[in-house]
Amino acid sequence: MDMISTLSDDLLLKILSSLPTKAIVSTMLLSKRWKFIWTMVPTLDFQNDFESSKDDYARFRQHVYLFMVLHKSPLLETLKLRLGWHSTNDDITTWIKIAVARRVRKLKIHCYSDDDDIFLPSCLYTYNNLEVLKLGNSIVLDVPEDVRLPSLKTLHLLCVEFRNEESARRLLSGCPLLEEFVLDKSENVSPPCFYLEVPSLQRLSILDTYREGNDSDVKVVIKTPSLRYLNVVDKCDSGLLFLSENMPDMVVANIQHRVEFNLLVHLELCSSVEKWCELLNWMLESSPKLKVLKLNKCKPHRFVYAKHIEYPWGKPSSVPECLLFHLNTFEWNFYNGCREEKKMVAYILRHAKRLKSAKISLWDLDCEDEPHIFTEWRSFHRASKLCQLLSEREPRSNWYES
Amino acid sequence: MSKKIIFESSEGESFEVDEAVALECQTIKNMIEDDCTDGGIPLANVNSATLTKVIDYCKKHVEAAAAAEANAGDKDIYGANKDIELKTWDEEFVKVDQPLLFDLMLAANFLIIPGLLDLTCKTMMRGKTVLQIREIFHIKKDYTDAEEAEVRKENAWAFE
Repeated sequence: MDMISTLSDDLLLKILSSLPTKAIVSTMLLSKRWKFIWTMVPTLDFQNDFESSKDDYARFRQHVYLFMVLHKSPLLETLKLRLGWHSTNDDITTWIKIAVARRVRKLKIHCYSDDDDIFLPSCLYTYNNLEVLKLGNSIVLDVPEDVRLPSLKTLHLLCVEFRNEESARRLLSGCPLLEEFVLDKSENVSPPCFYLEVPSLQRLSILDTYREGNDSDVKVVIKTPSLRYLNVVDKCDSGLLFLSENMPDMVVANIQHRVEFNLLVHLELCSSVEKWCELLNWMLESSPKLKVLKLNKCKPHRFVYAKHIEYPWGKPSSVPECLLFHLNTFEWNFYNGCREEKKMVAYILRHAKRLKSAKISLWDLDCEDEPHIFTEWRSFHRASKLCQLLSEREPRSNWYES
Repeated sequence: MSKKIIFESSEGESFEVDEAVALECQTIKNMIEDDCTDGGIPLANVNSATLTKVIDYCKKHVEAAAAAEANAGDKDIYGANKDIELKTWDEEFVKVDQPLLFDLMLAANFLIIPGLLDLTCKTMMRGKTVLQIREIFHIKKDYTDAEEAEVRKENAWAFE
């Protein structure tokens, strides 16, 4: 027999798992050894082009149903579904139910349904074995009162809709071990206020890139004492803010005082709103162990230029502990050297005693001022003699989202 | 000076590596913990060419892990590992001929190096059609024509 056919089933399944499901099933034609291997593969990845026709979807749908019926693996490691216009709530709900019955551990669903709001079956909200849940687009989270996801460690919610504010709170409070949370609040479908109280959370990314209207009460409130990594992209002028004080009554009991991020070592902020400077100061003061600070690292979104800091910046009342003892990497993209930006950079360089590398990159637009800005950058007083200064011009191709 | 571990390939050639590098292999890690690595570790089913590559892989990943630690786990906003340099290195690493890729996969399986096992398994058939798979791996069709027709007929849904 050829070498590959003599491998154990475990290894063959591992090899097959990297193929799209359509290719996996056709390996049954290779030889008798391969006739049933495909029925045991633990990772299923079904993809339906999002623009595909109704007929295409009908064929795809039949393929998924038959595959799942004939699939024999008692354990499903991963189910990935990428679905287009014609996908329906009934199909997706059924497929998720089958996956739950097979004790799936990772579930990733992106769908762009045209005519249907996609709801998750209620059994998913109390499913013990789920470790990873990634959802995107036409999915509506109408979360029941009883949520228990005791194994969930990773949750990504990208442009999904929450039926109400309660849904968001219920979902998060049902995940006692959650470590990583990515929330894309773009597309104006999330509730304006988002309360994040997750004691176990280590990594948090929040994107807010586009919103119509002018919600002045948009906010994200976080109480996440185990956080080590925070990345915030906010391109909405209406603003996204973190509040530690001045809480609405319903959460007052827990977050009266300033939240401390005692474990946070990595922070990226990308924003242009008025409260931005305040947020930066607040984060510096609340994160005594911060090592890495990156500002404006995201690219300008949807043909909107990154903005300069135009709002007056006031330095923190005392030098934050992270500057004195821990910060070793500082980066600022789309820096333009205006007065407020200069004040902030000068402050950080003057006080960051452990800084090893500091980098600015400029807009290509302001090239007349460029030599001047670079000279000035090198002339700032530095608390750390070991600090390496880097500067570059942001390439034109980086202006827009790729 | 860090502790050294000595591997011996199937040809009897000796390879000295830092303990930290050897610890990338779960099998070796267990042996080190049980304190039975004195006098070298004979790897009767791993040849020198494969072992050289395996050690390269482990070295690179030990270095990358140390660098990532220093950079406080630089990941992109979706939590994916942003170490593009390492990804590119991995991709180059598995651009080898089929027999060597196969040996690397078997070695990773035997030594229990999860990252290398994933990488080699992923590369093995990726982007290939059934016809190409048959050709590359010399898989002989043992269906008769009638049997194949039957498999196709029974599973027509799969070949639409």
